[in-house]
Amino acid sequence: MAFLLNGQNTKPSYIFGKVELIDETKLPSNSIIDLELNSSLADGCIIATGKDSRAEIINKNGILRIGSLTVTKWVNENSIWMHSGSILYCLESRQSLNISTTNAKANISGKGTIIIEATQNGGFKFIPLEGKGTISTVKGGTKEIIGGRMLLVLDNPTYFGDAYDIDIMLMLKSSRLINSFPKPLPTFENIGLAIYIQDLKLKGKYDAIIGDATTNETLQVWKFEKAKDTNSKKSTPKKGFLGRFFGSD
Amino acid sequence: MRIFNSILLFALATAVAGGQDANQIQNRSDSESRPQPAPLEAASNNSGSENSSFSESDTGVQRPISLKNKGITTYFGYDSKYFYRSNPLATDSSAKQPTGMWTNTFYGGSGLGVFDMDSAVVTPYIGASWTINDYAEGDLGQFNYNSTNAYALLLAQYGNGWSARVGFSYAMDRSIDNDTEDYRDYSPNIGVMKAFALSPSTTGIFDASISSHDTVSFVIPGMNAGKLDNTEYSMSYGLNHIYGNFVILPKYKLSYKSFDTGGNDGRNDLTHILSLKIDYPLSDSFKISAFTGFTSRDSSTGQDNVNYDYESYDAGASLGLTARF
Repeated sequence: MAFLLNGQNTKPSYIFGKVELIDETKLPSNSIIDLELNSSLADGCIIATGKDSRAEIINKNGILRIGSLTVTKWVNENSIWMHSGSILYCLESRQSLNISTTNAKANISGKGTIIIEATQNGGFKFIPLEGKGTISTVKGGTKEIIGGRMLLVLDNPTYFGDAYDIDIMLMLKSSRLINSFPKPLPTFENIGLAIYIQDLKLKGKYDAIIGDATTNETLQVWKFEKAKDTNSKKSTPKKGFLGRFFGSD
Repeated sequence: MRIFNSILLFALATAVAGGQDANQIQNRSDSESRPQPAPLEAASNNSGSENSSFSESDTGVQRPISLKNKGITTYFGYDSKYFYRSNPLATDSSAKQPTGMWTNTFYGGSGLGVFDMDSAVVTPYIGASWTINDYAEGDLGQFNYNSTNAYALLLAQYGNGWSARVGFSYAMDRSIDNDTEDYRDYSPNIGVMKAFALSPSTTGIFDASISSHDTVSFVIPGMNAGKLDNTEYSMSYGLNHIYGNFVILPKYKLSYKSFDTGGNDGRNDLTHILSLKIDYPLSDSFKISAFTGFTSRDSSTGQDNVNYDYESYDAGASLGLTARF
């Protein structure tokens, strides 16, 4: 997380849509400005993205991508806080990173390409596309980072919820945090190997999509059918979209 | 022990199979129609070309999957092919005896785990196959034979798309009519392969390999049984193109063999193989195919001053069943 600190070397490298920078020290006036390319970012600033808006911030140690409808704040040199939305870290060397949301926090020690998505219950999803290292929480202990294995990080004091192996190839193809940026991630080869490992170990795919964690006990799972969906499932809120998406799978 | 038994079988073969034409069997054994190990076929046929789509979340679609703990996989299958072969005995003479061939292959194998070595993923494989080769047309029924193949393979896949392999293969042909062993081949080999995504629906696959073949072939008693010993250098480039429900697989292979034993000492073969296969998967485990191929061998003669040039065309259809656990 060293790349996020006060940083003349920490600069936005790509901005799309409406991305605002909020300086809490200047509240209430002059505190909200548009994030500009190559502007220096200070610790403690908040970045908020609008709908269909994204930003990429680079430093010599890694890349941070911020997805749409995301509010995130750098607390200090190795900590980040998320209110909502999703971010992607691409760390090519081992780092120590504290991640916190409105009701959960964890420490990551390692490297990899990791997506963090804030959940409605105040925790977050930890989704490493590839990586090496560990993730720790106060109450949940330490778990190894495994490419494609999503962990739910819940509550305060924080513990781990269920873990799910996720289809990395599908994530790769469908994630705008990966695809909607002009430059490919430098860890693409490692992601490719993680997909290869998954394919070698694959037993089967569930006809379901994981959604939000609305409470600590509830995780939304949308079921879909492989065949053309004439009798839509009540649990599938966007049956038309999913029907088209998975119709040929 | 297996090798010892094989030597005994070979000795028996030379004694009882004298009625067969040794040169014809050698030519057939020496032709370019041997299958490669199933893991390489699987890797070559891996299209990776599902349609791209996007969800409404920036995170991406999170579809749960089920994985094996250690990545040990087992597979087996069955292939049946019926095809025309213009030159089944791989000869340059006028007696090419075109025929129909019916081959039935039963195969199985196992991936013995997945080992993440940080910069590469290493997977050991073992496998074997057994093929019944019948000359279904013409007068070649006496040459019907069964082929046995086995292999052990260590495959390292790198993130940049290259894979490297080192392996050992065993092949044996056995006459059905005479119940004699006609040909045996022990072959240590190394190779590299790289797949290129040329478009969302097309993948190019380059492969290069070096193999040493220590052979025992059926010969007239008194001749050198290791006559077909050779070192082979080969490279190939193929495409895997998805067109609707079809998978189109054109491929070109160039092979150079150097012989150094007996009457073949000094012989060098340059072989071109052009093939086209069209697969139509009916399900995950069942497909039907049509295929055609052309093989041309340009050979410099060895000490025995025999011309080993030949050309042959194949065309036919097949069906394949595969199960993976």
